Amino acid sequence: MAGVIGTFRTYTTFTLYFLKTRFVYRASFWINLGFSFLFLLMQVYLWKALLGAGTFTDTTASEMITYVVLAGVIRNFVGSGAAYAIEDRLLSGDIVFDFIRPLSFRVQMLLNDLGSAFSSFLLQSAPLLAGALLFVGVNPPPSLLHFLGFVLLTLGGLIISFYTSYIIGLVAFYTMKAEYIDWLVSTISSFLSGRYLPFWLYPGWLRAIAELAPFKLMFYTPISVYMGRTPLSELPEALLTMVVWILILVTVEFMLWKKTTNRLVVQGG
Amino acid sequence: MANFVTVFRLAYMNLRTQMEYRLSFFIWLGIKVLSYGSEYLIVWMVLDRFKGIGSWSIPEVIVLWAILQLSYTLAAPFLFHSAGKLEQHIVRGSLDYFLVQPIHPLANLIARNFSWTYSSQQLMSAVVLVIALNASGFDWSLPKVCFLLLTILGGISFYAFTFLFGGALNFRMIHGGRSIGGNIRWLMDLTQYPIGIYPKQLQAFLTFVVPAAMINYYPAVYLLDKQVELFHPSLPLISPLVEIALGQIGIRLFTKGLEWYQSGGG
Repeated sequence: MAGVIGTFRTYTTFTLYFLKTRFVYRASFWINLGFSFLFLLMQVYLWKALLGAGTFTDTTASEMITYVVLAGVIRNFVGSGAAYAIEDRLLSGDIVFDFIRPLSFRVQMLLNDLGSAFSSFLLQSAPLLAGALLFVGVNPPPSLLHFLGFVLLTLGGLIISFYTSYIIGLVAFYTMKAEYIDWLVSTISSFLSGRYLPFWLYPGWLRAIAELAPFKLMFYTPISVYMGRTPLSELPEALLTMVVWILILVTVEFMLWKKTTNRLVVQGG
Repeated sequence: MANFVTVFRLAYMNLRTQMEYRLSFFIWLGIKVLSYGSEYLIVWMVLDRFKGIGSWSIPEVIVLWAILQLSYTLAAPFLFHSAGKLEQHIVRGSLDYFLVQPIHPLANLIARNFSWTYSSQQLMSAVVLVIALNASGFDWSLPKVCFLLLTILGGISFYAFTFLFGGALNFRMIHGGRSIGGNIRWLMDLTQYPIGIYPKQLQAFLTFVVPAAMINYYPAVYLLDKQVELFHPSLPLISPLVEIALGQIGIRLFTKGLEWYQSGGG
């Protein structure tokens, strides 16, 4: 038990250190926050202009505004930098230090990401949400259960985002470059996640593809549960899909990890 | 002039280095087209259901977006990496290397970091712009074509300003520069839609504080003969000139920053 607590402490220290590095540059955080809010306001006006007082495919302006606010809040803290971090460490050779630490490389990366997400949530998402609640207006969820479903699914989305990026990073062990694949995947995921638009406004063919991919769990599924667009009766299915996707990604990562680490050659000395 | 020749030679050397990895170079070109092409698709997906915004049709809105993209992809090869890496150079002290060489440090930074992979996006944005202009019933007369070119030049200058301004701020506040420059560019994406949809205060902000609307919105009002309410009737015509002046200010600020810079190394 003492061993487990000790390991947990080490891991939390990692997360806390990462948090501290994010707090160092305060000015840039304020600037980012100000611009995020402005960007959000402009999206709000776009939807007000498009929808006005009317509705479109059952969507009112206030619903669309709720959607873009929540997507903005999620975007500010979900988004893994694992692929770039791995590429950077591979190219510089620093990865060797990650391997000799008595901590799993994957867990170090995951905790880095969690630290980053946590600090972004505190410093970006939470104030953005507060501003939106005060000045823009966000529809409340139909029930507490909808809200809990939203929180659970968003956390799942965070893990899926990490694993996707981490797997891309592992590919860099072969290509030495993760950048291309990361760009490609983020382009595809920005479409298939519902980051800009809810699926019900998608053309039929794109919606069909988006429903099959795991990216919907980052934006569309949590937000549609929050808004009550996904009824509570479908919540268990959504959660199950999330768990299945996480298991698939973990398995892929596990298999890839075994192969890639055998290939690692660090030059220099 | 000697600077220009050296910059060109260094940039050409850069191209040859990049072409050593030919496959990866072309993969990059393809991925960038896909990525930027998808942004047009998003604009289309948003607007298709509503057949445009207010008095602006879909092709007219695409004109706004294409002017923005073309300007960006013409400015970024010069400054994206050179200004972006400045922070790293300052933190690591490697900027000193550029200061002791017999060529202007900015020209040196640009040449060494010149990116050739924007060529596919430049081509795509230019093609989209021409198609969208045709679909909007653009009059290809000499004065309008000249004004269109001036508009693009203004757009490039304004993007250059954001890179250089962000770069210059790095001399004073590490990290802050990158986020201000990056955020201003991000804000410019908001002018992908006609700014008439925003309240007056925000329109004023995008016109007089961060004049992003001068890149595409105001020039497009003249180019497409749009009848819209403006803060001042001269805005469409003076916009490119204001942007070009801003580009010059950007260069001045960057040079000032360099003068202020004190190396952290020893």
